[in-house]
Amino acid sequence: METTTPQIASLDTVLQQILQDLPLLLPELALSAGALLAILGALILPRQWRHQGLAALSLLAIGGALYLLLKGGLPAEPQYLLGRTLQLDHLAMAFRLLVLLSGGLAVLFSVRQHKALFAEYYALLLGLLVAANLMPMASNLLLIYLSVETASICAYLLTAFSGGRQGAEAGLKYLLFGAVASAIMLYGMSLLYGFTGTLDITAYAFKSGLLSLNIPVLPVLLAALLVLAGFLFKISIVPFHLWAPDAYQGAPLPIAALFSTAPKLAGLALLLRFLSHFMESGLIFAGLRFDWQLILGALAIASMLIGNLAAVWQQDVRRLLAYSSIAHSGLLLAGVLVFRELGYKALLFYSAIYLLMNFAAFILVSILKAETGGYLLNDYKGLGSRLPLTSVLVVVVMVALTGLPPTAGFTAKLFLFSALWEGYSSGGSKMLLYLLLTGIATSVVALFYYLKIPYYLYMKKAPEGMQLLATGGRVWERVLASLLCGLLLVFFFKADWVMNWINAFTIR
Amino acid sequence: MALQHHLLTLLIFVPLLAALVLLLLPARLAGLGRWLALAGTGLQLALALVVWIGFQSGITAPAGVFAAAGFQFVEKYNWFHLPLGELGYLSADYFLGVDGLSASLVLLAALVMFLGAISSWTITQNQKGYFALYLLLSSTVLGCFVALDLLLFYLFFEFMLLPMYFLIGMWGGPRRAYASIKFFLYTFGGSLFILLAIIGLYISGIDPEATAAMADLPLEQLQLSLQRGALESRDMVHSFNMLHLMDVDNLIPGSMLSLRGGGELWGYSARLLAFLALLIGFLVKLPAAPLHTWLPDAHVEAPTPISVVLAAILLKIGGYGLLRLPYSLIPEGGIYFAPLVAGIGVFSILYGAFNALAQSDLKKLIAYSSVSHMGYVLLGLAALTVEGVSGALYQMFSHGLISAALFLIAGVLYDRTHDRLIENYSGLAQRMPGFTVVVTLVFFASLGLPGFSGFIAEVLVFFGAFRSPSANGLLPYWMVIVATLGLLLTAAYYLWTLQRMFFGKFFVRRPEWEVALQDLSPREWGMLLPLLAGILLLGLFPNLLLDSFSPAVETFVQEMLSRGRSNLVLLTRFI
Repeated sequence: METTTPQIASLDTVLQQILQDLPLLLPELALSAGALLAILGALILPRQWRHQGLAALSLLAIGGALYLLLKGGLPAEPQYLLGRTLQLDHLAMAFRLLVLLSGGLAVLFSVRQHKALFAEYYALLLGLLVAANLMPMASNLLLIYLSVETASICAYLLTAFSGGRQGAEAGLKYLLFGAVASAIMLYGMSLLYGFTGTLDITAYAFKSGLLSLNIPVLPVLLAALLVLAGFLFKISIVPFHLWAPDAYQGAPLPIAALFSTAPKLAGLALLLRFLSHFMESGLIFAGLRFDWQLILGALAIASMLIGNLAAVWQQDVRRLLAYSSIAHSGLLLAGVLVFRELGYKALLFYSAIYLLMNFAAFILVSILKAETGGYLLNDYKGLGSRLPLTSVLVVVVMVALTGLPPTAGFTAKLFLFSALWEGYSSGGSKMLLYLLLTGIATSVVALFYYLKIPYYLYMKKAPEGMQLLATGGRVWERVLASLLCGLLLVFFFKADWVMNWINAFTIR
Repeated sequence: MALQHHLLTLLIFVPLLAALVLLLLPARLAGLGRWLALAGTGLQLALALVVWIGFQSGITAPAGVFAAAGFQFVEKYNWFHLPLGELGYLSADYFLGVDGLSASLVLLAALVMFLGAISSWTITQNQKGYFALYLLLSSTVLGCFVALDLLLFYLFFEFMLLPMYFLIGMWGGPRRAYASIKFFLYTFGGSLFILLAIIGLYISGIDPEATAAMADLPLEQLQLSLQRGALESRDMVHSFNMLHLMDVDNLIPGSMLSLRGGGELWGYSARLLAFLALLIGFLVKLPAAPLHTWLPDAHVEAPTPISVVLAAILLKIGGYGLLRLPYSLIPEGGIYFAPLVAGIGVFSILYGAFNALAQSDLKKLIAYSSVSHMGYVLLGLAALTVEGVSGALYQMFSHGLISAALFLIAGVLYDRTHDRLIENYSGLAQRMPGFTVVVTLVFFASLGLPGFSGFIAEVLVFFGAFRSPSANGLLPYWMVIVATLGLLLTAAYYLWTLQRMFFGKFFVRRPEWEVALQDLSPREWGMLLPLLAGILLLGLFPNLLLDSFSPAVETFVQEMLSRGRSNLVLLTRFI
């Protein structure tokens, strides 16, 4: 095989190569070191300090990773690392940054969560982040599989961390769905390897292998679709979304918030990279008359429809947010499918704002849980007058998730819809237009269920003799939620602050 | 700082400031809320009067409408300016201004918000929240009428829904939850159509001034090189500036909503579809049958002051929006769809009137009468004659005063008995003579008796509509003739109601109401008298209002017809 020959270099050169590449992977190394130290710390730290100590350690690791990432700067040209298994470019950098931000928020959110969280919690969380950080860079089928699988294994365990029957059930369900998805993906990868003889999706052999006339069309498409199924599972796109509501409901809240952001965004980046290599070799697929936009667009539309319509019927807020995040996945996927500059910008903008919105939403759910002891809409009756600040914050977040001004949620949707329009009107597929129309139409449905929460807070009367459990407590979470809501408002009025950051990245 | 240069900003932000002060007050001072609301809206009204007095009107005044130079009290600052790579730049402005189309509505909005604040005196539950939301509402409403940037307009247009939702949902009647959600969903659904068109427009158009600066070209040559396709896409500055987007020479050739080589969707012209999208969005707000079903619920369940604001101002935003967005931005749509718009108008007039005739709840009757009266706005607008459009604007102002008075009247009764069923009252004239006089006058005004503002409005609308078949051939005669039936029905439901409730033998359903039904209090007189005075004044001296918008309306009609027709020629392949 031609591609394997350059890799059978002397051990010395390989090691040299690895050492050369390591500085570019310092953020991941910092996270890994943090994960190892967290396991060690669990053994050493005295019990009363364990939780705070480990949280501080994780924050330090993530902060360090962020610092190293930013210090490293953007690569002028795409670089291939570790024997062409990783591709470091602007796409990877942007999504690594988002993943780290989401990880940092998850740790900040966890600080006051469970006094008795196991030490492994933080180690697993950091492990998940390492994997989610590698996903946007992975350009080799093997590494793609490894990073997705590592993220998944950490995620299964974290889901079960809330303990009890529900946690175990959620973890198991997630595991079963996840195992099937990864098996399917692996099968697809093995087929692709069989067709091309290489694992490196950036390699010429990969493209030429698929182009080769010896290979029948249908198996290639099937293989590609099987691989995509694995990614779509991570992004929770219909019909690979079934795990999400149960996992969100069963997992600890910071983990649910993390699930809805870090692995999802990393999965999007992976999808984008994978597709872009297929699009580059678009010739083949044009020849096959196979339209990626069509099939993935249909899935995105299905996600928007099913996510939004199912959310309407939910009574448990966590399940509601899970379905809402499925709907948002549909929108994010639509952003990917534009395959134009404005589309990538809109996608990044939406991702950044979505991250803020979702964390704010889960933090508020956590505050309300602490006050009322429940997660059901019915538990929220009449809280508006008793918890004025929290309730106002809930309104802000719900308005943002719906995409109404004056919140950045609106700006994000505006850019996304603009990108879809622009993509369609400059000769794109008609699918983009349908995506746009679905996105707009489902916004009305979204308004209906997002409004339900303020509706219960303000317009339903509290039951007689209802007692709040911890009035005034949870200061930390309130501060965090206020901060995120503040950002959601500020980024509406100063959208240029986010956009200027995004403009630093050039994604093709 | 020269405050007179920031009048419109002050107009928007004074109530918002009052709301912030209110929110910062400690809970024990929450009783000050109503005073703050009064002060905030009072100051807003004073500012609106300053604007009204300072507004140059008459034939010699600048027209505005399509030309930035014709707007008065203009304020323009850059809001954001984003590089978008291949697509050029995106910029939005904080751009405010008043012209003949909006000047009168600014005054109306400020006046009604102030009266609404007085009417809110009876609110006792959670005053702090109520008045903060009320003040927020008055900021956004005023913002809607003066914004000249599509994004800014949309911001105010959408942000208005939120306070309204809570005001109906928390302080409304028994079915408030249903009514408020329905209101929110309908108007939000409508506004998404508007958003779609706005997105299409800003991507299709450029801001010539900013682009000239960016591309380093003289402004005069810019449109020419744009139309020749000589401009690099990277240099184009897309903006939400309404006035720039009204000029088809600022639209990028070949883009979706451009005139030359414009796009199509499913075989229809994208421009005409965009007109329809904007039309639907504002028809929901207006509302026109059959998109009106949120209105009776919202009106009936809302507390009195909110019904007043809803009927007197929020519906006008629908009418004003129609003039400013679909008509001005896509004039050929106004020509092409004139029979459709007029048809919806006529249908609303009749449908609303028939429904009003069948109502047993006084507030619902008034709500349906609003649907009917807004139909006249559509009819006048669709005619695209000077009389018709003037009539539409006049009707908006006049209905603003009359519907405010009507809902206050319903409120007077409801405050006393908590019941609004027409059949539960009879012969009220004997116990409440003052009230009866006011009701009779307002009912007469609403049914269009000469001497009242409603008469002038309806005469102008019918004048304009009847002239349309011969002047510009847009409307058929039969449509206008059918619409006149509405006048008859309106008279019928008002006179019948008057007869059933106020005349005849005194009777009320419950004995305790006999004590409760006292004549108007000084506060109620204080709200109703200025409205009555306004209604009469405008009925006797129409020039007070007509002067303010005549130059704008003339330009509007002239340009609509000429631009619309020449644009339509370029779209013939679709027709």
